[in-house]
Amino acid sequence: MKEDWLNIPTGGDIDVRDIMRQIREKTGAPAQADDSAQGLTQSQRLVQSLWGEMIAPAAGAMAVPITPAECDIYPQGYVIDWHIPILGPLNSIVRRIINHEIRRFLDPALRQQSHINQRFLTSLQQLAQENAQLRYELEALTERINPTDASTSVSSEHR
Amino acid sequence: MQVHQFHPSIVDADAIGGQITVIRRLLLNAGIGSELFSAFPSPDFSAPTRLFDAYAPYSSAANVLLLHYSIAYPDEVWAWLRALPDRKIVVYHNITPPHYFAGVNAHYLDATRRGLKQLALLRQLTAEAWGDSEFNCQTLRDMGWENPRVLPIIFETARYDIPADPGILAQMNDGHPNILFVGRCAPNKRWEDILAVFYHLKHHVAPDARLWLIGSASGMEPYAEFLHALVDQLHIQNVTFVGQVTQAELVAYYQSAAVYLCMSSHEGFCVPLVESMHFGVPIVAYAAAAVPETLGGAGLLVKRKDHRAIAELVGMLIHDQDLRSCVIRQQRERLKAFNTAVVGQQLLDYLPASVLA
Repeated sequence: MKEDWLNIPTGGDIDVRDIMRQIREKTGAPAQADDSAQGLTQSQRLVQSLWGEMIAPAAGAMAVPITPAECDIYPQGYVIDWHIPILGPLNSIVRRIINHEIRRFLDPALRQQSHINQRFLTSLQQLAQENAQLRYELEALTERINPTDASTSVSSEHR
Repeated sequence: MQVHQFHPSIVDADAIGGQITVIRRLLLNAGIGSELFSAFPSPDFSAPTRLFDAYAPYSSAANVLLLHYSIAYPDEVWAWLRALPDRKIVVYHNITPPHYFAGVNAHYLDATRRGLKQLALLRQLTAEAWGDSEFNCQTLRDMGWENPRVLPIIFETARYDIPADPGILAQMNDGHPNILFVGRCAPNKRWEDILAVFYHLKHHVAPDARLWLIGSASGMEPYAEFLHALVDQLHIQNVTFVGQVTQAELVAYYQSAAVYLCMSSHEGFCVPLVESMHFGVPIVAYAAAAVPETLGGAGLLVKRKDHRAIAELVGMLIHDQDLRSCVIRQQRERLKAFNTAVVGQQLLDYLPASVLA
């Protein structure tokens, strides 16, 4: 545990070194140890694991706001009907024949595209979920091993 | 010459509502006319508030309009602001970085993104900007304002000089050390780190300690569920998710606390730190965002989240009376920087001379 992890106000009666020494003795951490070499504690592992199970999936879904229904481009419930007497039924027959022919070659492509859309959505959401999980773990790791400046820290989010 | 204030929604319960109220009173005491305007007036708010679209009779190029900013403004407010000749000053109270809400609340995720985008647009409409902290002022500089000024949250003790809830006092003052955190149950507050520190505190340092987490989880339910799961899986005893409390209850919690523990990753000012100073509760806080600035050298700042070591530090504050007294004494000294007289004078100094004439 390096000496710089604790910032205690100066000018008072507080013996910072003595506090550090007491904490090192109680935690069994050697002086000047490299914190980055220490593994995660059980509690830290559990925090990251639970966050990955409970928050990250929703983070992935939120990052890609497309629903599975939107991936399906196959026309559903397309109805050919008629309203005008005599000409209407004739028109309807012709449209049905044309529609049948077009759909014969178009249907497989539409189904294939819908399938690909769904697979892309799943992959995107998984990547977004992984990104959210890695971001969380990185922030936790940074907070654990990199000392902050005791003066004002500025979030990079705003830049 | 008048100084009016606007915020989309003004409520008594939050720090911004409190700041708006105090600023208005200071202005009125200085003989400066001051009214409050919002987009969604709350009937429960203690000071009279008008709808922003009733501002016309109060508008003047000689007046100042303080635009308190902590959330995106509705579209109709933008149209109103663009038409105003008043000298507009942004008072920035911080917007939490959007990524903290990913996976927790899609509405907040979107609102914070829009809020930050709008903050950049506000630059075109305003003459100058103030921030609660140097941390917030840095954001304003990044958005293009030159020389933003720091106007800290004014801490008025009258709100806290009320009788504490007797039931909570009786419940808490039974000899067990009480660890306290006050703030919204939101991912940037890092309640999971508080729980991890408390876990080590219970196991290695003070088995009889209790943790009281004060703050609403409304809108943050997935995050709250994650925290409860963490408590269950780590088998941490004596953790109470208190939720929202009344002012009398809050006073009781502070009066009964042994240590205030803050592990936030992002804070624009952190009023509970000042509250802890007022109640003589020694603070252990992670040095992130505006926390070091608000503490100003008081309290105990940790620069790394070593949960085990922080637990030991909390334990020392509980048991070492000399350390405890020293920290509390330094915190009391720091508290003076937020009193009404000091910050009130800063406010008057910041206003254009024409307003004070």
